[in-house]
Amino acid sequence: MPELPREEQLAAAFVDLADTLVQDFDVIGFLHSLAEHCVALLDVAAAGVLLATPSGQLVDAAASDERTRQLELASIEWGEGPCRDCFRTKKQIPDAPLATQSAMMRWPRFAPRAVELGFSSVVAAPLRLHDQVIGALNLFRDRPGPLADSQVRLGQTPADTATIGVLQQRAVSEQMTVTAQLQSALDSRVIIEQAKGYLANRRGTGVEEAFTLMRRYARDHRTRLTEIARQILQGTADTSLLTRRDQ
Amino acid sequence: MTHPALADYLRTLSSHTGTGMGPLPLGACADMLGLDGLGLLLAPGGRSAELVQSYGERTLALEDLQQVQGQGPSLDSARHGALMLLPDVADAPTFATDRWPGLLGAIEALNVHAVFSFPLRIGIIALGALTGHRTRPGPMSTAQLTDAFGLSDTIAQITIATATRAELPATPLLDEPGLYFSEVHQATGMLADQLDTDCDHALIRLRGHAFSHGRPLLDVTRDVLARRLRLDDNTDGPL
Repeated sequence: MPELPREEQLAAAFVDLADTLVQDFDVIGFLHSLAEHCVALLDVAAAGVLLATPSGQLVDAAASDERTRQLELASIEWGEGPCRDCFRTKKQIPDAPLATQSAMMRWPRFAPRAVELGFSSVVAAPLRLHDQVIGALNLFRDRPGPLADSQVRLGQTPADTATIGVLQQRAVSEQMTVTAQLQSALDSRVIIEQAKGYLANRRGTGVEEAFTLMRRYARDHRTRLTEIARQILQGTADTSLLTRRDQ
Repeated sequence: MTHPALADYLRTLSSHTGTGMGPLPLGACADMLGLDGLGLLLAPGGRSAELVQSYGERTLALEDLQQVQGQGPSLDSARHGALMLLPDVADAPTFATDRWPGLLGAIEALNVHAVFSFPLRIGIIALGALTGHRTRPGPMSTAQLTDAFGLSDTIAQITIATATRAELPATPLLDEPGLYFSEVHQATGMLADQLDTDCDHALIRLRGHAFSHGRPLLDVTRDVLARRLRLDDNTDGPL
């Protein structure tokens, strides 16, 4: 990738980051590629991403390399660090040198570990769309001097694209789940009706009487009505339930 | 411009917080859309469509007919998310006569001359359909179409929102008033035992009998449930 001109790298990043509506979409894998694109595009040594659940819990990390990922995971555990602050405040954290007293005060565990790993400064940007923040992006430098503003802005663009991608994917999978719930509710209603008729014929009773039996059986055996209905239709129900009264 | 009364309903509907979908004012909605009847069908995941709310004296017959034939605008709309506008059943476009052979004449025989099916969908996901009809042919006005789109979108949102709260076995969404064709499923189960077959096949036999005798599915169903009709004596004729 470093051989490609900047514009082509950016285009490649966009194509990669827009490709979320595929099966078996893996959010963490996707955020890994965001981190890698940032390192390829920007003048930074490493990039890390923290991901939050829809309820606001920071849960997982992705990074351009393993040591950075470990640092981000530790930052979740410690409950401190630029990514966490950025996620909480929903605001960008401007370039902060790490080997300073103020950084050590602000992030007493994070800052020394980052310095140990060879990082000199960090910038954090929220992964946000309107008021929804799904995580944060850290950009680490290992050379002296702050990251140029234009670089920060350039990094924000793939971050925004990635945010939209994750939100889009969440929306689709949420709707799929709800559709499945609705479908299963409707299916079980239909199966119960079918089992009523089946049992009524088997026992020579009316449909309502068959339903009363099914309900009583389900209650006595602490089994769900849908499950009893399914057993009746598959012929695996208790014979006492399926036998005619006069037999 | 949304009809003010319908806007009221939409507000009431979308702020409904109780269990179930809340009382859908289908009658009033039909009035405002200039329709004689409205039916709400659910078919999540493209499954068979179930009529769960109904208004108008011909709605049940119109849906029954499509269930018998296994085809029609309601089913295409519910399963595939397609918008189906048939302002004049007697003068329908070729696609309709090709797609549903034998259906449109039978719809006319019910004295239904215009059918409009609006899909309930969220994004690409089809949940069901809202089907309206008129005894008088003629297109819906732009304002009426706008209201119908607003209504079907709102119902889709409410359906999704309700489904997330629905706890089995009590499913408020389907409890009031429930499945209009529940007797069809009961008769299907009864036939499955009589014919020693599975429910899918039993339903095909039931529909086949209704189709070949030109009878509504619910009529045949009631005969089966009352043990006036058995389909295992080979008097049913070839399917």
